[in-house]
Amino acid sequence: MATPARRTPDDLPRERLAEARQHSLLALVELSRALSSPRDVYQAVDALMLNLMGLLGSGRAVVWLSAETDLPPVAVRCQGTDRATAALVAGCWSQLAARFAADPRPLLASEIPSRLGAEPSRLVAAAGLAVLAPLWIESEVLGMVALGAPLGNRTFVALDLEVLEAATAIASTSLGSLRMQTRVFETNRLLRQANRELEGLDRLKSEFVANVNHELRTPLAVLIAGLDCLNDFGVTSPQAPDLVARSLGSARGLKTQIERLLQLSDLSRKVLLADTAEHLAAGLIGHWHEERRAAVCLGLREIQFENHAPAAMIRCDALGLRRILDELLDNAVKFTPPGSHIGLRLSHHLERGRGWVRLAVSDDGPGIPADQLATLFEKFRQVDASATREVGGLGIGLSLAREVAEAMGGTLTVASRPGHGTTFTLNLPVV
Amino acid sequence: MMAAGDLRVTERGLEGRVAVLRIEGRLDALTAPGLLAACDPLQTRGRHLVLDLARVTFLGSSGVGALLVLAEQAREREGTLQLVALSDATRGVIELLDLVPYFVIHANERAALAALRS
Repeated sequence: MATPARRTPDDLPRERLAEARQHSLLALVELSRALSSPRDVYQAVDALMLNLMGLLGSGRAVVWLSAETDLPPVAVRCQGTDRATAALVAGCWSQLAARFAADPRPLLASEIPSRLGAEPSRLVAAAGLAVLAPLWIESEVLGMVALGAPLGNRTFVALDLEVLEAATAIASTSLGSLRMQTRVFETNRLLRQANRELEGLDRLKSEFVANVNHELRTPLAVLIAGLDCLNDFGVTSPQAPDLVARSLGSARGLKTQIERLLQLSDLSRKVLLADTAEHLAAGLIGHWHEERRAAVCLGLREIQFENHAPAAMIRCDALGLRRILDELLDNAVKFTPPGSHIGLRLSHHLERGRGWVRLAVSDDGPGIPADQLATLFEKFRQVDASATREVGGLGIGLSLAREVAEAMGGTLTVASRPGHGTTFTLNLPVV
Repeated sequence: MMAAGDLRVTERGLEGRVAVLRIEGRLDALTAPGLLAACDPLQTRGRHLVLDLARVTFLGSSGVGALLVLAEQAREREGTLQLVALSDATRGVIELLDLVPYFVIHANERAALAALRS
């Protein structure tokens, strides 16, 4: 149980106060440097947490963040207390957020009973927390940081609380900038992707026109010639049955060609396989991971990439591979709650007498029921409608992802158990 | 050895349940995560972590935070964190926060190892 921290005036001896102020100032400068350009939300939160623990001499810290305005926050980092206990504190979020919206200053645990009631006080005490402070992103209270009482023989003094307020303000500004930058970067990424696919479609359009010229004109010419002759000779002439048969044959052939040329799903597949070349697998996948990481972390899914195949080369279309990876990652994000973890593991193995790279995309989400697992890769499969409606439908779909993987000589499989997460595994042959 | 920014972490010895690391450079907000990452694989059950801080040129708040995290992690794994050879400056930061009684501090590595053996 936390030792209640009391709000007192600066009651340090003068020489200690000067040292404490210098220490606090240096801590804020340190924090500002660390948060000037964080890679992602989790790096920013780690920097804040370590800084505050050292600033206030506390062995216990929790940071909660919300991915979006109307969602309750999740405990993204816990030190010295467990995640389940920290999650219970978030159960009082509406009361805490209201308090911080009205008064942004840090809130001592000792003040909670009179301000928010017995239940929030009990939960905060159970987590061993002594002070809470809000995190603001673009004028909204979207998170909170809490610390245990100072270790050793200290209690919080007024200077501690002022510095805590300053530190969370610095962190809030950094998180707000990070959110804006990440959104701009993500929009640019999607635009670049759309551009590349349009360029691919443009090339295919030219091919299509050339094909139409050849594939359709010939049977059409035969059809017209046959009908012309039938017209000249008459329908009762001895040549009529032969002419009708040839014309019918050409018409059917024309129909088949038109159906083949108009297979749009085939077009999508062609775009994703148009520029096949040799690539360093870790280079392509690492670059893709860097592009996607910040936005995925902003949605409060922590993503980590382990590279155990630094030198493996594969033969693929870079855009096609990226779209497969996007589909797998977007699925993991779609079907896991905020606070989840997504792992990317690239490895190299030998099988059937040849080398393969394997990329496993794993999450610790709720998993997929067995009946849905069996039909996951089917075309036109209806996934959970509500989840799909919440997220934009810009993916290529698992069915096409598997087709493209197989066209690259590889495989795409899935393993999942309800309550134990899901792992998609992409295998591609090494060149 | 691990180097990140202005911090170098060198493994000086790993014997049974005791790991000794030398920390050189600045231990601040930019380098503290690197210290945690370097220590992570060594934090096995029952292991004692001895950190030689003689060559730490600056101990910032985040550095103290990292030491607190390491101490708690060691405690959870039924081991300990021992700090040795603190300079006046680094000791001053720990004293300012009244953390001297919280950490196990020795004058040098020999004293730490002797205490662990006993």
